[in-house]
Amino acid sequence: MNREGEKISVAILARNEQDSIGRVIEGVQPVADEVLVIDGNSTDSTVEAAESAGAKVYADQGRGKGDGIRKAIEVAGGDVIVFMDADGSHEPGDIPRMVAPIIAGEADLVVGSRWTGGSDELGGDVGMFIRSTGSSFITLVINYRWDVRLTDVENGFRAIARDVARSIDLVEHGFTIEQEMVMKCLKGGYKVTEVPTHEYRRQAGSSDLAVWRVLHKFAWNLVKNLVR
Amino acid sequence: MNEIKKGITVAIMTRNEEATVENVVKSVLPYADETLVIDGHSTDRTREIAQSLGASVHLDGGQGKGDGIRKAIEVAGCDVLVFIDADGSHDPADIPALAAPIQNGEADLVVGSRWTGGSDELGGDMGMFIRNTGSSIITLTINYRWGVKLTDSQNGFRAISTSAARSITLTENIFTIEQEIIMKCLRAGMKVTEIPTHEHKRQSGQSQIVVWKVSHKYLWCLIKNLVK
Repeated sequence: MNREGEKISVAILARNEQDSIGRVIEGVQPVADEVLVIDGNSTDSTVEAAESAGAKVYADQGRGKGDGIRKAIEVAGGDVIVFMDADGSHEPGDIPRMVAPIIAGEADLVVGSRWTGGSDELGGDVGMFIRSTGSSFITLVINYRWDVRLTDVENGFRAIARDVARSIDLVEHGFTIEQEMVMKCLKGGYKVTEVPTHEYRRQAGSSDLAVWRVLHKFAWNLVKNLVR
Repeated sequence: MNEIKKGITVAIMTRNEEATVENVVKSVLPYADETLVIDGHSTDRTREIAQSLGASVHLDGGQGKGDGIRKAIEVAGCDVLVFIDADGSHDPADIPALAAPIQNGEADLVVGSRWTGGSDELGGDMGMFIRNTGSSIITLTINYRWGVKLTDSQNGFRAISTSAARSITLTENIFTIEQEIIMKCLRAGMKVTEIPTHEHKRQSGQSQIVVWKVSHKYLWCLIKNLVK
């Protein structure tokens, strides 16, 4: 199905990102028909900064990133939803390339790949080693299970057709929603592709994800989705 | 060994690359004051094609890539030496950025990083997973041993000061020479940095490294260089 003329909602997932949110919103405005900021109970002035930059701001239920993504899927007015982080690590200029396969009817979910696009955040110390090896392992399992050849199932920078997003039943509250979305799309027979996107060093803050504390959640989520 | 002039020598490492060597030599020429083709005893027309395009062609001792790198260091005529593969996976347009930190006196060795620059060859199946994980463990070990923060210890796309290269004693004959160069530079107190370089899909052929057959050689090379 060709989706030409369809509208694009960009959903920026934010939590205490007052320093970077304004610039991120300005960066996406030229490529978005609607800019949403989904706020995960920020205690700083993220909400005010987002509203004054012209975004529509919604609060999620404060249970994690998965919760914010579900909220975005619920409220988005566009036919294609792009998810991106508020910390400046994603490049708004990549958005047109990311939505193009969906507009053209060639894909339902397009994930930005840091493996093909490169990352300023992925290498060099033990924490990052565990994170990238774990993430590669999960990607590998998904590839062999569904006979695809993805390289990055964990990147939050991605685009999805809204009707597809609403048809799959996403239940994860945390960052595990990224891989859940990929697996549930594959399971639903939807087409999942990737485009290279570069991950920049965060402009502010550090990752909210302490990888050794949540590793078991990623593994459990993987197993659940493989067998069901 | 010959007199060293100011400029950039680009050494293209070849072995049966008749399908791609023409493109690579032509695309390197604009960036090089001297273009060397170091050939690992090709049985096809690689040397003939390279010569006809004006490259200076040398045979290595036929023992592997390490051997070719030593030959390039021996015959290079300029003060910056850049190594590039002949399979089309490296972009010659990155050569000035690789050479610049050496020309500015900021580094002795500059390695192109596929982790920050992205790779079209790095993900998705079991062989690549093993290769990435092994390569990351080696990089990590080097980082903690020498207090640096590198992300790619194995990429063959790199630039080195010719005099620095001649001052270290390189003994590896195969692909293990990549990590050996880094470790010997670090041990000698030289400055090693990285810049992002993208690895493109090979235009022809396949990697000549069968990772499970040689992984013990990488490990042994690592241990030797850590303790010596």
